[in-house]
Order: sequence, then C-alpha cells, then structure tokens
Amino acid sequence: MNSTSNGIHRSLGRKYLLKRRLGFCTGVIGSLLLGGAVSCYASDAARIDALEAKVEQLTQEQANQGSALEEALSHVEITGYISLRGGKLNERGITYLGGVSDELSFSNETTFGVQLKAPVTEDIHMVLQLSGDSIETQAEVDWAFMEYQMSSSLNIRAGRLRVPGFMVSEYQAVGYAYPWVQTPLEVYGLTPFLRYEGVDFRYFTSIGDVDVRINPFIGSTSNQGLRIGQLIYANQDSQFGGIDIQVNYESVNVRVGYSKYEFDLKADSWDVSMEALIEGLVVIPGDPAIESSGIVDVIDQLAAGATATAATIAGLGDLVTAAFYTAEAESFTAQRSNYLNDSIMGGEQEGEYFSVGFSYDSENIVLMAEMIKGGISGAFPNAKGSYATLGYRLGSWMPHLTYATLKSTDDSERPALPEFEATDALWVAIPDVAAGITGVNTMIGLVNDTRNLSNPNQYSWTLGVRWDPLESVAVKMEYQYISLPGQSYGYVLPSAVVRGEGGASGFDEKVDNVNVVKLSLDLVF
Amino acid sequence: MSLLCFGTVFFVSIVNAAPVLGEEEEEGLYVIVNVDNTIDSVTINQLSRIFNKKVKKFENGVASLPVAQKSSRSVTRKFNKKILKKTVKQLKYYWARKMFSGSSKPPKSLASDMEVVKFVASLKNAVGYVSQKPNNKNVKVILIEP
Repeated sequence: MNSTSNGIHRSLGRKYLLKRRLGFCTGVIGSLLLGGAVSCYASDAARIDALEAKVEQLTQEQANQGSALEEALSHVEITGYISLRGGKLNERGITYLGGVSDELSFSNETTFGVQLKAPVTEDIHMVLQLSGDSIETQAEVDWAFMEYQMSSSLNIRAGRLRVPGFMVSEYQAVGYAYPWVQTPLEVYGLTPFLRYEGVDFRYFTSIGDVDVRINPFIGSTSNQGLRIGQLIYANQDSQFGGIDIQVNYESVNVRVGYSKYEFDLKADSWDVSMEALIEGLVVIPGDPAIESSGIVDVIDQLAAGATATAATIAGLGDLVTAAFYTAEAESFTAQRSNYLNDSIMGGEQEGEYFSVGFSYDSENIVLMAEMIKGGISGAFPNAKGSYATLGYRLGSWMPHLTYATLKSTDDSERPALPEFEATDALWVAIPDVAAGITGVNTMIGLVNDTRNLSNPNQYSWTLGVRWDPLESVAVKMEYQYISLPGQSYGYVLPSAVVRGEGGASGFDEKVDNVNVVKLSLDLVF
Repeated sequence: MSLLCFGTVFFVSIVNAAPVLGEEEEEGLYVIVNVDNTIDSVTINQLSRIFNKKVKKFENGVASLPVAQKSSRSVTRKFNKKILKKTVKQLKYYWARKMFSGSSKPPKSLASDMEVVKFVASLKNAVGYVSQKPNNKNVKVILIEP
C-alpha cells in the first residue's frame, strides 16, 4: 500500500518537474531525471515527450487502479451490532441460565459483532460475521460463507453457517432484531448448537401473493460445546441435516423446521459425575489402583460389614440375632443391583427436532409464537417448549407480554434411584455402618438431584417494553416471573453448579419461583 | 382498457388522498421503471414485496432492482406509509433481521428525484419512486393499482 502511494507521488512529482522546466533547459531536466547520463541534445526533447507520455499513462493507470479499488470497497457492506444486556434476580445463590444471577451484571449476556459482505463476482458474494460475548474468550466466526446466486430464485451458500432452528436463530445475538432482551430460553435453550460448517440451498418462490422460502441444509460440527445457556454438558462432533420452510403473506409469516443429528459426544461432565457417584472412579491408576468409592462400592462394604457382624454374633452363640444380620447382608447385596449407571450422555447419540413458528407484524400489533419438540437420545433432556408474545406499538414504544413453557418429555431416561433401605435398629451400636448407610443415601440423593437438573420443567411470564428512541437504537426493560414446578430446577440452577463447583451444598438451593429484571441497550450500525 | 382507466383513477386518488401541508403540497408519488421494461402497472402489494425484497422480479418475469430515497425525504415517508405501510423505524427493524441473517440488504437509497431518475434511466431492471413527474425519455411512470 505504502509503496503504491509512494509510486504515485514519485510519478506525479516527475510530471510536475517536467512541465515546469521543459520550457527553458531540456539538458538540465534530462540530467536531473535520467541521473546525468544524458547530455543536452535535441533528441532529449523527443525522449522527454516519450517519458511524459509514459508518466501520463502510468498516472492514468494508477488513477484507474485507485478508482477500481474504491469501486470495490464501495460494494463492501459493513454492518455491526452491540447488545448490552444486564439483569438481576431475587434469590441468593441462584443463576438463571440466560446469564442472570443475584448480582446485577452487564457482562454475562452482552453480545457484539461485525458483518462484512463483499461481492466476488456479480453472482457470488462473501459474507463474514464475527461475534463476541463474555462467555467465549475469543471472537467467534458466526458466518463465513460464499453465496452463489444461481438464479433469481435459487442460491447456494457454503462455509460456516448458523443453524436456522427457529424463527430468530439466524440473528439471535442481535438484540435489536427482536422485541425481548433475550430470546425465550424455553424454546431457544433447546437448540444443541448455533453454528456449523456446511452447505445450504435457498429456493424462493411465489404462489400468487404468497412468498415461500425453502431452505434445506446439511453439515457438520467439530468439537463444539453442547450447552444450555452457560452450562456446558459436553463437547460434540456431529453430522446433521434439515429443512426450514418459511411462508409469508403480507404481515403473516409461518415457518416449519425439521432437523436430524448424529452426535459423537466427548468430555462429558454428566457421565463423569454419574460414574463417580454410582460406580466409583479410578483416581490414581496402578496396582492396586486408588479409587474413589461409588454407591455400589459402599454397598459392598456395608454388606461385608453386615456379614462380618453376623459371624461375630453367631460366634458369641446368639444365632437368632445373627440371623437378623445375615438377612440384612442379603438385603444389602440384593439392593446393589438397583444402582445402575445406565443413564448416560456420552458416546454416539442421536437428536431430532421439529419446530413450528408463527408471526404477525402489522402496523400496531406484533404477535410471535413458536413451538419445538425434540432432543437428544440418552440422558439428555427431550422436551417440548413453546412461547407466545403479544406486543402493541404505540409510536416508538412497544409494551409486550410473553408466556413461555418448557416440559421435559423423557424424565424416564433419568430415573430416580430408590433410597437404600436398612434396618436402623440393627446399627445403632455400630456407628461405622450407620455412617455408611447415611453416606450412601447422601450419594443417591446427589445422583437424583443431578438427574433432576436435567428435567427442565418451567414456565414463565415476561412483561416488557421496547423503546426505539432513534432509528437504530432500542432500549428494553423486562420483568420475568419464572415458576419451577415440583422437583424441577428448570433453567434456574444453583450458581455453584453453573460455575462447575457442584457439590452437595449446591443442591439445597432449589427454589419454586424466581423474579428476574432485565435491561438492554441494542444498537445496529 | 377499463381496468387501465380504473388504475389511473385509483393512482390519482392515491396521490391526492393524503392531506398534505406546506412543502409537500405539490409533491406527488410516482413509481418509475426503465422505458425498456414492458410493465405498465404494479399493485401496492407487489411493489411492497419488491421493495422488501420478498420477490426478486416483476410480474412479467423481469428481475427487479428497487432503489429508494433517503429516509429524510418526504417522498420516502410517503412511499413508506402508503406502499410499505411501515415507519422508518419499523423498516430498520425489518432490514436488521434480513441483514444479520446473512440475507438481503435494503434497497440503495439515493439523495434526490434526479438521482433516482438517472439510476432508473440507466438500468433496465430498476424501479424507483419520485415526487415529481420525471421528464426523461428513458424512464416511464407506471400505474399503482390497489
């Protein structure tokens, strides 16, 4: 770049010199320009004419190049967005997976990004969108694709794309583009990932006044986090495909989507904690290996303890009492088979999602509703989520009300383990075994709580207002009431669990409802 | 023929329907296309879909390239209100959704009637709107039907 502009200055400088001095002494000029190698002959005039023509031509070329570059740059569109989000909820030690905790924070769900769109040829475009948020430490590439416009009704995109899982998925980070501070987590939380590498086709057609977009897609992901809000369940590779169909008539938009996935799940914290709790883990390999005890290990020890006690008592001649302890040992051994680690998330799993959406956006009334059903096999929650939003525009203000609900449909994939039963009276005088029985029930409670964490039942009401003070700015405020029926945590988890600390203390904090206040400032440019 | 007459009557009534004040008093709303485009009329709904880029061609199959005017222009406000039935802010909201999903961008917006006429005169598939009846042999005014 520098050398180019130096070149321009040099040639311009030469031309200027030539013109000034040409009139009086070609010799001086000749030696100046040509390094003194040429003396003052008549032919110099011709040489200088030629040079001048050459310089003229070069200057013209430079100018042409400059305008070609300018022309190209004028076709590059740069757009961007910032969504500054903050919020606070009213229960201590609790985090809503949308990124809201008991302390007011503006960093958890703030997003920003920049998008470049440049033409390659008349029919081919390149789009690059980089985005950032506070969860991931570096900028993510949301979009990076080449788009080939095959005809006015068909285009192909290839590269990194965003999954068109729901109505707002493709611009989920751009707060300006929807009424709420965040997309309703009851529906948007169910999507297994946001970005993929692949290909999609978009076919546009019209039937009378109805416009249709048919968008099949296929692709894969590599080593992406599988997460709900801030909670990462596992890392996954996947292959998937699906179709998204949108139908538009005047102010009405209807969409239907279907997608199917094959996952290979790795580094799964669920499986690790389940295995540790139920079967025990090898902490330090070797011979003998050092293991942490799982539920079955403790039960084995308790059964051995009961058998040993029975033998000791029998040795003392009290055969009647000894028989009680023998029966207890047999009961312990029999119960061991209740504690199976058969609810796993890792390995090869399949996923399937079906979604429908409806929106109506007229002069004053805004209606949006979506429903999704689906999930991933294994211990992952399968669920049915839906929401409906009604908004009313009053000038630059739009108050809106949303009802959302989420219900897991496969709680049986995460069955609660039965309580470990013992005859307490037999163990009053033997504190070691009594402590073991208490301990094993604590571990069973932890397994059941963990399994409950993934039964995401909840419903919520959100009352909010969006204010558009300027053309590209939206300010939003929301109050949300979330109810968590029964044993469910929904998406409202103990902060310790979200931070990955877990532990028994984390599970005491299940609440039945929570009140959330959210604010945002959204810009596009 | 009678349809055409009806169209003309309606077009006139659209242009004159709005209660106009001050500088807007003499302003009309004319939709123009290149003289080579065979199209003679367009419905409000078709025009709205073309400007929202929901469709990419005219009824006659010619690819459409809509061109707007700056949002500060009163003719733009008139066009947005009568044809697109959206405010400037609502349009921004609509286009933000399109653009950030890697899709289409809003029509180019030019600064004056003159620029729009020049643009439409030079591009066969262009369609624009202006406030004064253009005096250029390479563009023609088409009827807006309900």
